[in-house]
Amino acid sequence: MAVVTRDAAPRVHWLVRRLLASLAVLFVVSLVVFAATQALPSDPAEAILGRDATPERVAALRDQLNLDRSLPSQYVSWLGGILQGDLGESLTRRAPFADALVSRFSNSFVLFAVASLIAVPLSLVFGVLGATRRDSWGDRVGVTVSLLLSAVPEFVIGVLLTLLLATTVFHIFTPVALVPEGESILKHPEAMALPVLTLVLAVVPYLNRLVRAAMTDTLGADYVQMARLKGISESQIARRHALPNTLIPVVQASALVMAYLFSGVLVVEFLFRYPGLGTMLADAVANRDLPVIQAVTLVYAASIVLLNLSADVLTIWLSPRLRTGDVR
Amino acid sequence: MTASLSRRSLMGAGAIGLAAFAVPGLTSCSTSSESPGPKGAKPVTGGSLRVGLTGGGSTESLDPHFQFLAPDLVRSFALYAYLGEHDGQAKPSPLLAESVEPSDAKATTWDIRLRKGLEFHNGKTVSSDDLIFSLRRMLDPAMQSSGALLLPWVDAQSLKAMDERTVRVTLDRSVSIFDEALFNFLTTVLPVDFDPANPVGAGPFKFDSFTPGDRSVFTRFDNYFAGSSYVDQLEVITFNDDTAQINALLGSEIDIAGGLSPAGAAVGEQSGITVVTTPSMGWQPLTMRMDVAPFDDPQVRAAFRLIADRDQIVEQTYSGRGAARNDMYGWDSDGYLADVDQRAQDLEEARALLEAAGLTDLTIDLQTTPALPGQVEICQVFAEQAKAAGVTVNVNKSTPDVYYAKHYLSAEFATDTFANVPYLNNTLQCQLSTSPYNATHWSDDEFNALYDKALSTTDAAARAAVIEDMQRIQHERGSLLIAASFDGLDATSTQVNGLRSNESWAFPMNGYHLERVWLS
Repeated sequence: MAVVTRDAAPRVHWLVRRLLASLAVLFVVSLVVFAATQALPSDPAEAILGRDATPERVAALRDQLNLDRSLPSQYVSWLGGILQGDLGESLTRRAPFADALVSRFSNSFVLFAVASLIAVPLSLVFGVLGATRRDSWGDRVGVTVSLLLSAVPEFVIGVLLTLLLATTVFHIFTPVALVPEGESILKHPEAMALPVLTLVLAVVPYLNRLVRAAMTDTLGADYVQMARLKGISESQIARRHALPNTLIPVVQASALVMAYLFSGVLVVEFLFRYPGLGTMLADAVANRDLPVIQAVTLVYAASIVLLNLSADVLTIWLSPRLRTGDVR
Repeated sequence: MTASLSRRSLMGAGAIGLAAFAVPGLTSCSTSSESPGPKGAKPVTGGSLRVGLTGGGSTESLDPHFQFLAPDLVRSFALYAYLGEHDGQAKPSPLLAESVEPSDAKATTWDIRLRKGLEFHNGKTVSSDDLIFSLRRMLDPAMQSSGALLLPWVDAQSLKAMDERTVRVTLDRSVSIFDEALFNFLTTVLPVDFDPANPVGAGPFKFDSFTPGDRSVFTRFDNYFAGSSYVDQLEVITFNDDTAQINALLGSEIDIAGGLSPAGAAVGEQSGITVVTTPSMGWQPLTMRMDVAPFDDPQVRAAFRLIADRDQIVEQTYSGRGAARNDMYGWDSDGYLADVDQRAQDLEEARALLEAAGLTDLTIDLQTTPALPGQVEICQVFAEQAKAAGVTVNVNKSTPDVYYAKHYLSAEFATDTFANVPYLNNTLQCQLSTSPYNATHWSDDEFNALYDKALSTTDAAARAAVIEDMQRIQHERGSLLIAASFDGLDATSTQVNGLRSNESWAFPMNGYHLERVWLS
């Protein structure tokens, strides 16, 4: 028995399978995105020329941009490039965009990471406090505020925060992130305040209620009753017995919420003109810049796949039954 | 009905409480005033002027002959300036050119004379060879420039240097207003070895850096012919929407927020920002294709023109920041037809005309796009007004790329936007069968003959009389429903001086003369 549980092979196999499945997911995503961009009602040449898109000029520009090749040949050459680490050229800028992609991604990642690092622990603290002091005066206020905030879309939160803290009532933060392209957002921490605050306010109410509910369930479980009967103090019960078991659903929920946060970054970036992946994607879609759309969506998909994978690994590590037994 | 209309246009404009800020009749007789800053103070030099603009993106271009977006025009003026411009009275006014004059009595050849001692950013003196190079580049079909459409009479091969700074242009016909046509946003002077990657021009600012869709930086050119700029540096920054743009202005991150929507301007004024107005800077017609049903019947076009409540359109589309128009453009030009009554809403007559045309229960799609502020709103307001005449107008809004690729120039009923330039320039853009923006497929033999005559008439007074006749036709049976003109709206911080409000220009911000702006 002991030999079996210490054998790491099944877990390695599981991880390898999950990684391969993730790659397959990314491949399918790239196909779907490619198909979706082809279904768009206009092409890059038309998007670039706009009002002056006369048939002759569109034809000439299509020729310049190599848009006349067959779809499979466009996809295969793009995929071949990606596998060799070549993202291709942006059709609108007519230049490689790998540098811009890296700098935009790191800006978005910093925003996401800072918001997560604040939102997740904060939700944990509020959730646990709410569950252990259920129906107290503070808990009721917390639940009401959470419900109110979850009902407000993040862009409304962003607009209200801007009015309150940047433009109208107080002038504490800069309302718009005017960071020159290619420069790291870390050099401009002041530009991050409002986007981070908006994301935290959009996520904490939801996640904190999840934690509270999970913790409340656990506190009502038989083994907790048992611990109480043994005379263990409530704070010990919460820390030693309830919290570790609450963490498993919370990790899964956090992964979901963080995936949401990653896409929420998109809206928030637009609102604050934040130089991240979201604004890059919005511009690429508006201009039908196919290589950029493909690259950005692939980065998004890979990040979310990775996020879910980490959550699963963490879940296994946190639950003794899965950690020691056979994982399927 | 009025209430529902207001709400609709407000929602379209994306602002709350806008109606309260609508200022009627801001346009005509108001006096001009400077942007804020200490009054009458002496201009000071220095500082960086940060201009925030919308309507850009990664397709922005620094090429002076490849200009499609609002931020492109501002940069183009700063870097290159133009041969000439149109002043507040729609009169041609030379800039890099010293003079543009016909060299024969019929105005079939013209001499363009450059200013003396005009200098490029690299120190080279501007010569007639540079001008010939630039005009050929602009007219070259391979360049994908709109230049050839704006100057269709020029034979690029015939351009001839008469001396160091004079170029003779031979046209394929008499063009009495060649100077007016030449002074457009694409005609500038580039050095013969022009490289778009490292652009050199003769404009008031030198190139420093450019990232499409993000920002561009320019520095003062000390030898600009009209006096060097007050500010050391000019930054042009692109925004996704005017909310972020106004927030940046309120947070002192930019100094000028250009090209605001009426709703955006109202929000800005509410927050204590000064709005600089360029009165009746442009016009947004509803375009009725006259070669297909239902608008091939002049009675239907007349009926639609009678449906429009023009004052209401000014109020609700432009928050009062515009003026009612009489289905004619070119109101600043000599020969503007002023002796006809202002057309007003007449639903009874409109119904009668539609009945006579056999169209009692007409339903029609109106194609539009939010590419420019007002384009969607004017359609929504008109659709609401049409209900009262028993006409169902379905407003179909598309994204700009789809609109221009699929609907523009082909839809029977659509919308467009034009800058207020001299009458014959606007006509060249949209009312000839060769016009690039002839969305209405307007073709009228009598009108075409008069246009021909106007181009051949060198006497200004006689030409004005011909223009009057042309406008009479457009007013009577034309294909454009021109209900209103709109004001250019730019907001500035209190540090900005030198932008004049209520002064007419074909372009906003004093015709883009940012070199005349100073920061206190």
